[in-house]
Amino acid sequence: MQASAYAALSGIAGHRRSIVTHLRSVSGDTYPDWDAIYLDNVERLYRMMFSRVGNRPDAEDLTAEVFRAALGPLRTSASVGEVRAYLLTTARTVLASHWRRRYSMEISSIDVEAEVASPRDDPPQESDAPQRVTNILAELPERYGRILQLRFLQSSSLKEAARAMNISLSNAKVLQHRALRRAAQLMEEER
Amino acid sequence: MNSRRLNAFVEALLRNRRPKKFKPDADDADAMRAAIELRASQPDEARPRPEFVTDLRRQLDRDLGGDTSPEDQLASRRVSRRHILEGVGIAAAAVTAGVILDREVLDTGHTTTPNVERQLVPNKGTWQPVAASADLTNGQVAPFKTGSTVGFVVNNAGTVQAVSGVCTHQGCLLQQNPTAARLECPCHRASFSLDGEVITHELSQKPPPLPHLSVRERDGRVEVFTPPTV
Repeated sequence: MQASAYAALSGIAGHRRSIVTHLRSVSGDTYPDWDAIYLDNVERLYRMMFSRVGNRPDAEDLTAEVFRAALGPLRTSASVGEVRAYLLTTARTVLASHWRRRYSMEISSIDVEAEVASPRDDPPQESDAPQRVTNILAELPERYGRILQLRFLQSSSLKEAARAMNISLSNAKVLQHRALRRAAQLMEEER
Repeated sequence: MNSRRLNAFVEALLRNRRPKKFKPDADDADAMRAAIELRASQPDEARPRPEFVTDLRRQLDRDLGGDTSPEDQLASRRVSRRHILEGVGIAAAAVTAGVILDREVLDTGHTTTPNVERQLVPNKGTWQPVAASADLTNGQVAPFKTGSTVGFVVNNAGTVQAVSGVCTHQGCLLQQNPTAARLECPCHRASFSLDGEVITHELSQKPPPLPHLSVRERDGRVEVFTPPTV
């Protein structure tokens, strides 16, 4: 984990410089110390990682990896905007190498430019994800929507979902699989 | 397409476990993306655990000592360890309350006397309504959650108080015991009175009392002074 993060960093250096110059005029505020950098960014970064990997252990590891990788190179004299851009760029690289390591392909990614451009004071709690998902489920064929609703929104086990829908366990598995692929198509279309 | 592996991936997400390595094809990858988005849309799941935030902060604090002389490193580790024993609860509460502790406070852990009740007053903050005064009659307790703070407001014989809802041990969220007037930590079974004092604990060291938050009543509403959302 460490090694990949540092390897990742060496590739970032050039990119970082461009972001740093790009942002210098935007925000002149600085953080008093590392602790402030950490506290101001940890929740945001964790939420971003969680939204990309969907499980807590990976989100925690990747968040930690970003901070560890950024710890050395980052100067606390950098402006708030620079620090955030740097953390985001590090996060993008850390996430990409996580996917390559585990699945040999990138399942999700971080769009640094879009994140940097998004309003800085958005409270991290505020997310349109729940609404988006509700809409997607509503658009799916009824049984597809139902099984995903049961599994992901109501935390039913596969067995419970099968019982609730009055189908066999193996049918529930197949249905879930198809529903996910259909949902993926809808999500892709709505992006 | 690899149904079994994909199913295992979905199960791992739903149980908050680390999904296993496999070689997905393009269809699998699509389904994985959908599963991640569905999973991540749950607001309760998307929040970092307070213990994680505290632990990582401590680790980073220790890592930061790495550039200094061996003596300093040792000193900083010593401090870090003491910080684990005494400071973590405070730090956890501070993180939840959005209060930024000065690094100096952390590094000179020996000067802090823990166990002194702390009033958490953010430098920048706003009064947030958390309950209707009419609902908070004598002896009533109401949990509240603002963007940055979790806690309980209590009507203690006509005086309204607010305490942090985060255990001072490792930052777990406290639960109100409705029959006994106390707040209980589900993680290590510590319990606190409604004004924040430790009633029982099974830890080697007594955890500090819960910090109080500034509270006022205005226009029939109970309001708590909380830091801006981070």
